[in-house]
Formats: sequence, C-alpha cells, structure tokens
Amino acid sequence: MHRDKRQRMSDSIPSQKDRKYDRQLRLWAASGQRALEDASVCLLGSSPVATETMKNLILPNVGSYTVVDGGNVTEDDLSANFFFDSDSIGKSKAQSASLLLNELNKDSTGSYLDQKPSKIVASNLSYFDQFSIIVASVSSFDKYSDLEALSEYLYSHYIPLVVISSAGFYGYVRVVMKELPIIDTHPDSLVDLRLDSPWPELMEYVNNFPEPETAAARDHVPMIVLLLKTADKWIKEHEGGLPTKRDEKLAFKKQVEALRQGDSENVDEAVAAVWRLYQKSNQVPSQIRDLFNLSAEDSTDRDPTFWTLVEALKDFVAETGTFPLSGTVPDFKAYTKDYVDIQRVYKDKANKDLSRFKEIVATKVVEVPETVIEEFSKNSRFIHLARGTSLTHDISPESLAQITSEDDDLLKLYYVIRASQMLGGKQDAFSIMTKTNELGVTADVVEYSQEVARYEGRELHNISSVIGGVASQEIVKILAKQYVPLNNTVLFDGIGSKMEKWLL
Amino acid sequence: MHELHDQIWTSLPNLFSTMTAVRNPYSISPVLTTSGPFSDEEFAPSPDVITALADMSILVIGAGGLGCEILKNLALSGFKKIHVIDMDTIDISNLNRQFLFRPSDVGKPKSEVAAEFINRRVAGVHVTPHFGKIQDFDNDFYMQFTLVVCGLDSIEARRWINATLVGLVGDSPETLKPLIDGGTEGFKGQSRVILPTITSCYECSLDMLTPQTTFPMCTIANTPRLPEHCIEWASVLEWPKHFDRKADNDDVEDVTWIFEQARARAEQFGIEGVTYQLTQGVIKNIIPAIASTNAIIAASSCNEAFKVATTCVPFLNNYMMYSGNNSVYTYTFQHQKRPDCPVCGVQVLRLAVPKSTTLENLIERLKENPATKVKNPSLRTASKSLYMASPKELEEMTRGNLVKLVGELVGEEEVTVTDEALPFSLRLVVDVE
Repeated sequence: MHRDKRQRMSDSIPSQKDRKYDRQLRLWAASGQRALEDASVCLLGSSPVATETMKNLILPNVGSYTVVDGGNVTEDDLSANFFFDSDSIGKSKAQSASLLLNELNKDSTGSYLDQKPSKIVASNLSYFDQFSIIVASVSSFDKYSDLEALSEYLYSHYIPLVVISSAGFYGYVRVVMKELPIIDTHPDSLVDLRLDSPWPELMEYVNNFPEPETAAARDHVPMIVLLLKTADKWIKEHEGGLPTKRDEKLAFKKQVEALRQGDSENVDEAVAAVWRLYQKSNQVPSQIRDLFNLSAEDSTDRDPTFWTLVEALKDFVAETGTFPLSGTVPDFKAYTKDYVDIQRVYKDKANKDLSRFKEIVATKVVEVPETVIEEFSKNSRFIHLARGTSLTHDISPESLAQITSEDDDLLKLYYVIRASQMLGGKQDAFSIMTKTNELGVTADVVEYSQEVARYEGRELHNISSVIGGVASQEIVKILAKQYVPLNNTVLFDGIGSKMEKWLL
Repeated sequence: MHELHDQIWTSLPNLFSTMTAVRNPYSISPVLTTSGPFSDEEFAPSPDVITALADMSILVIGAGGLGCEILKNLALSGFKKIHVIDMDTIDISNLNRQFLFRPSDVGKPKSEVAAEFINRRVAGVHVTPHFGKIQDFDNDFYMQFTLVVCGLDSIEARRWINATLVGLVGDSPETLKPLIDGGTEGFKGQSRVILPTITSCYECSLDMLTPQTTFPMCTIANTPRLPEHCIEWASVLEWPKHFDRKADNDDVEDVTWIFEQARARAEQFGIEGVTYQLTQGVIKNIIPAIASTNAIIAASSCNEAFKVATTCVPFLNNYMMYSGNNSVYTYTFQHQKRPDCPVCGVQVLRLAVPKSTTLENLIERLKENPATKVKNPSLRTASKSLYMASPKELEEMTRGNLVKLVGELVGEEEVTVTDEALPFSLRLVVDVE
C-alpha cells in the first residue's frame, strides 16, 4: 500500500517543490532529501567560511539551522563576507548573518543565538544535543581548547562535528565523528552476475536457451548465456573447475572469442565480461568482515537499525555462503523478450534472497522498516562504516607519524595552522614554529610558519568559499547517509592549488 | 509614467550603494601588501596592487550555477569592474544553487538579475550585464578585458570562446587574455587556467570529455531493453510522426506526451522504470548540479583569477580535478598542449586512410574522432566543394561525391572542414596509404 503510493508519486508530473530540487534529487533521491529536511544544523561562527558553508546547506533545503556567534559586525567583517552588508555594521553578528542567510530559501528555517560559542561550551554543553550536526569555525572560539572540549563532548555523544578553518591561501575541513554507518554508498555499479556460482534457475534458463537459427538471432544471444554455456562446457571438459591459471584463462577467452562470426557485438560484450567469471561471490570483502567483528561490540548509543542489519547479514552469509543478490543487471545486446526474461531471473533470485534476509532480521530484537531492509539487502556488499577520531587525536604519535620528508607535505602545514590556532592572538613566525615543534612536529616548518604568520588570521573569500563548498558537500553526505564521507581531514593549499587528506 | 517610476525604483539600490561605504580591502591586504616565502620573486607588494585590481575589467561568461558564485567571489576579492554574459532566463530548477535568484525572478534574464543583486549587496562593485549569446559580441568587445572566467555548461560555447581568445593573441602582451574555466557534474568538477597559445587550451583536451551515451537506432526501433530506449523511441521516432514542430523539453504537456508514449511502450515490452523524471532527464540530457560543487569549482577558479591578476603567488599550472563521490579526491596536474591542436597548435590535422576510403567513410571518421567532434561537416578544397551539408541545393549537388574515393577526389590538396560544432575551420590533409 505504502509502496504503491510512492510509486505513483515518482511516476507523475513533479510538484513545484520537486522541480525546484530536481537537479539534486537526481543524486540523492527522495530519501536523501527527506533526511536533509529532517536535519537541524548548528553553525558556530559567522565569518565568511561559516556563512559560505551554511549557504550551501540552506540552498538544498536543510530543515533548520541556528547561527551562533557573539559580538557585533565591524567594517572589516564586511570585507569578505557576502552575508553582511552595510546595514549589519554595529549589529549582532549572529543576527545579521542569519537575516541575510534566511533570504536564500524560504523552505529552510533559520534562527540565531547572540552568544560566544566558547561561553556555551563552558556553561551548557547539552545545548548541542538538539542538533543533527555541529559546524564549527575555529576562529569563532576564544581558545582552541574550547573547541577541543566541544569535540570530546560531541564525539562521545555520537553527534558529528565538522570543523572549518580558512586564513590567507590555506583552509581545512576536519570531520569529527565516532561512527557513521552508510548503507547507500553509491558504488560505481551494483551489478552482480554470479557467473562463478550460478543458481539452478539461472542455469536452467541458460540450458533451455534455444540454439539460434538465423544470423540475427545468433547476434542477439545474451552475453550471459554465451559465457555460462562456454563455462559449462569448459567445466565438463576440465573435471569440474573454472580456469584458474593464466594459460587456462587465456584458452578460455579464446573459446569465447571463437564464438564470433562476423561483427557480433554480443560476443564482444562476452569477451569484455569474462573477468566476471573469476569473481568470488563467496568471498567476504575485508571491510565487511571488520564490520562482522565489530557488530559483537557493545552497542548502546550506536545506530540500532544498522547494527541489527549487520548481525542479520552475518547470519545470512554464514547460512548461504554469500550476500543477498542485488538483482541489477547491465544492459547487453539481446532481443527484448530475452533481456526481460533474464532480468526477471535475477530479480526473482534477489527477491528470494531478500525474503530470507527479512526472515532473519525479524528474529532480531530491533524492528527495522521494510524499505531500509530492502535498501540494505541490495547494497549489502558495499555498506560502509566511517569510524573517526576526536580532535585530540591529531597530536597522537600515529597521526604525527604520517608526516613525510617531502618539502611540500601539506600535513606539516596542517600542524602549523593548528599550532597558530592554539596560540591565538597576535603571533609571529617564530612563535608558530616553536608551538608546531611542541606539538611533536620535527620537520622543517620555517616557510609555512612565515606564510601563516603574514595572513594574521584573515580570510580570503575564495579560500573560504572553497572550504565552505567542501564542508557542505561532506555535511550533506553525512546527513543524507549516502556516498562515502571524508574521514577525517582535508587541507586546501590555494597557492599550490591542491588538496591532501589524512585520517588523523 | 508608470514605466519611469519603475526605472527609478530599480536604479535606487544602486544609488544607495554608491552612497554607502565601499567594502574595505581588509581581507586581501595581507597577501597583496606583504610578500612571503612562496611569493613570486618579481612581485612588488604594495597598496597599488589593490588599486590596479579595482581598475581591471574582467569578464564572466555564464550567470548560472558557477556564474552566480563567480560574480560573488570576484566582487569580494577586490575586482570592481565586472561584466557578465548569459543568454538564459531563470528557471525554477535553478533555485537549488543559483543563490542570486528568488522564486519571483523566474523568467527574468539571469545576467540582469545577478548583476543587480551583486551591485546592491557589494557596495563599490559594478557588474554590467549582457543578456545574449557570446557569439553576438565581436573581437573589440573581448579585447577590453584583462581576464575571462568561464562558468558554462555547454561544450560548444567553451570551444567558441577558447578559439576566439586564441585568435585575439597578437604581438602586444595585452592581447593575451588568460581564460579560467570551471565545470561541474554532480559531486565532481574541474577548474583550469588557459593562457591562449602558451598552455594547453580547451580544444587540446577535448578528448578528455566522456562521450555522451547514445543508443543505436535499431535498438530503439526494434529491441528496446532499458527505459531510456523507450524514451528515445517516443521522442525521436514517435514525436515527428504526430507533430510538425519540435518538442519543447521544458513544456509539461510536451514532456508528458513523450512520457506517456514511452511508458506505454515499456509496458508493452515488460520494461520497468520509465518515470516522468527520467523522461525529462533523457530528453534534456540533464546533468545533476548541486550548490557545494559549484562553490568549490567557482571559488578555486576565482582564486586563480585573483592570482593571475595580481601575480602575488604562482597560479595553477594548469588543471585541478575534484571528486566528492567517495570521500574527497583531487588531482592537480599539467595538461599538455597538443602540437596538432586545431586551435592553438600547428593547425593542420593529418589523417592516414586506406586506399578504399570513400568521402562518406572519411566524414564518418571525422564524426567519430574524439579530437574533432564534428556533427554534420562540410568539406571543400581550394579548387572545389567536396560535400556541402547545407543548404539543400548544394547538398544535392555534392551528394554524388560521397561514394567516390578520397584518393581520387582530393589528392594531395588540403581540405577545409567546417561544421556547426566547430568554432573555426579545420585544416585537414589526407594521407592515402
């Protein structure tokens, strides 16, 4: 019933709202959009990097947001900020920014709080519990340690924090999240043909496929049929196994190629897909195996739906030796009826796997909505768990060990910027350098320290806008729980026009 | 009277903005009035650089997803004389990213609304809008600018402006107009700096574009398998049978007609997945577009424009790619100039063909060649017309040549190829093997 209704909606002429968001719905679909519209964002800071990030979240229609900042707008604040104008001067920063941000999209609900982020961290950390995500501009804090305190709190409460920073030609995004499970990672392809282990119904279809009687019919034999027939013949001739050695594989490929009579596109497709025979459907990818091991861990505070599904998947794999079939087949040359029939064989198997998977899920304590089970079943081979760290982990030995001996290693620069932010106030190259060394960075950071010192912490609009773009893209992925988010730090060097990323 | 009243009202915000304080250069002054370890050696830091930036004329092409961002970025980076060209009017589907437009602006010219917004918001900046096609402006128009920043979604328009700027390059250094080009698709995008005739140009990299998916006509007509096949059948084969005009892909009635035909065909064949959304996507070739990616690409382009204009630190040499599908991935590299680039290289393309090649075969090869990407070319030599795609009379007169052998028809002569997709004439020499 519920399903029918959804079907009808996507079939009909789109509403005004669907037309407005059409270009993004084609990426994250109605489910991602719903997640975005259910989310509430807390923005700490109102400098250009903060307002640019917020702009890119309001436009796609994040449900609600609150701009938090203390102090009043000065003339200098206007220099690179699109969301202050001359009317803002002398007024509350948070109020002025939210006023102009609100104009961007009436569907999104904005509010503001005229208070310094550091003050809230000191007095009322539970204030942040109401939000789906916190976006924090480093410069909005009195002391870097206040931001670290916030990071610790949010990390332990499973609330994602996205730290943004921009000064001169440099900027970075640091994502703090304890754990983020993603079902719909949008892999390049969900195609899973199971040619290495065809199930009985598929083999029955292939064996009953009639010998073509005309040249046209021959050119329309589906590549799946060509491959499985050739494989079947090979197995009979070679005592039960598919080719494993290099020369066997070459010989097998020659057998497929030998099917070519003239310009047979279907044979070309079969040759190009031979590798699929050697895929190991019974193999569990290492990142999934890691998940199976993790799922036994204590799961309070964790996403109960996801972990229930992981438990169920573990059972399914133990029972059947493989994953639920996705049911997705690629396009290949075939007569319409044959294509639709093969598609049906794959879909039937996918539905059968899904039914079994649902039965297993039903034995678990947590109740999971049907649509989520379906999505999980289809994507089960590609599910992803991002496990991050809190800000304090930046200066752990394993993070520092990632610094290379390269002169232009941008990780050194990250620590230089972080050192300068920890210092706060007015500073020179020497004090930044000293602080960077104190953090445990032994490499030469003289030039980066000089460069960072001359910026005086001022934001260039372009760099803030690049960082605002990167941060908002990651935030949309985190809120929509789709695609694979950054884990956990990326730095943009606007002089070298390049980015680097690390897991710190 | 009423009109005059409107005029006064629309020009009022500008009057006010010139009265209010101009935004100060607080943000840009450290990088322009001091130098650092990575500054260019010849760079002379000084407040004069800020003045020079304010005096420079810069052209923005496109006032869409990238264009809105570009205008904002330049206005907040010290540029004050900005022109923008765009031929489009605002559509509701623009509003999820083109942040200078509101629902009440739907139907108005993008360039004008965008310029008015920036002029109102950023005091002291003057954006001049041009509502039209880039091809409508002559060389003198383009010559007035120091820099060109492009935020286009059309390959044809990019090829045209690229060829035009290469053509402008003369003996004096002012004739060299750096072109900064950005493009996005979903979570991915790229920005690049082109110094016409010096670095790799847009035409040099044409073969990097992913070819558009096309479906064979026989599949569409006889053996559909995908919903897309049914949609193509409805729009390409069925529509002309029922209407004397082209379908308007923005018109709900026209799209609905195609959608319903496609859905009926899909049902007949047992094919699933024809929706209105997909129908519109296929017939309009819609590319997903989001605010965040546009922000990244536009800002990185404008960062390069700022560096090129001020020479304060080195600029991108010459290509940066960004992808956000799977974490964040970027790649910065130097795209190589193609010596045989038909726009900026030695301008003769050499093609080796077998003896049996007919003129028709040659035309097919030109169409398939990723480096030329012609659609329906006309070919002639200095002495004769080989094949003229239009007008109809000439096409009929030259059609007979199509079956003739290239070797006999052309010999050693140079062939000039013209095509609607080519912003220049391609010079071709055929080597018959």
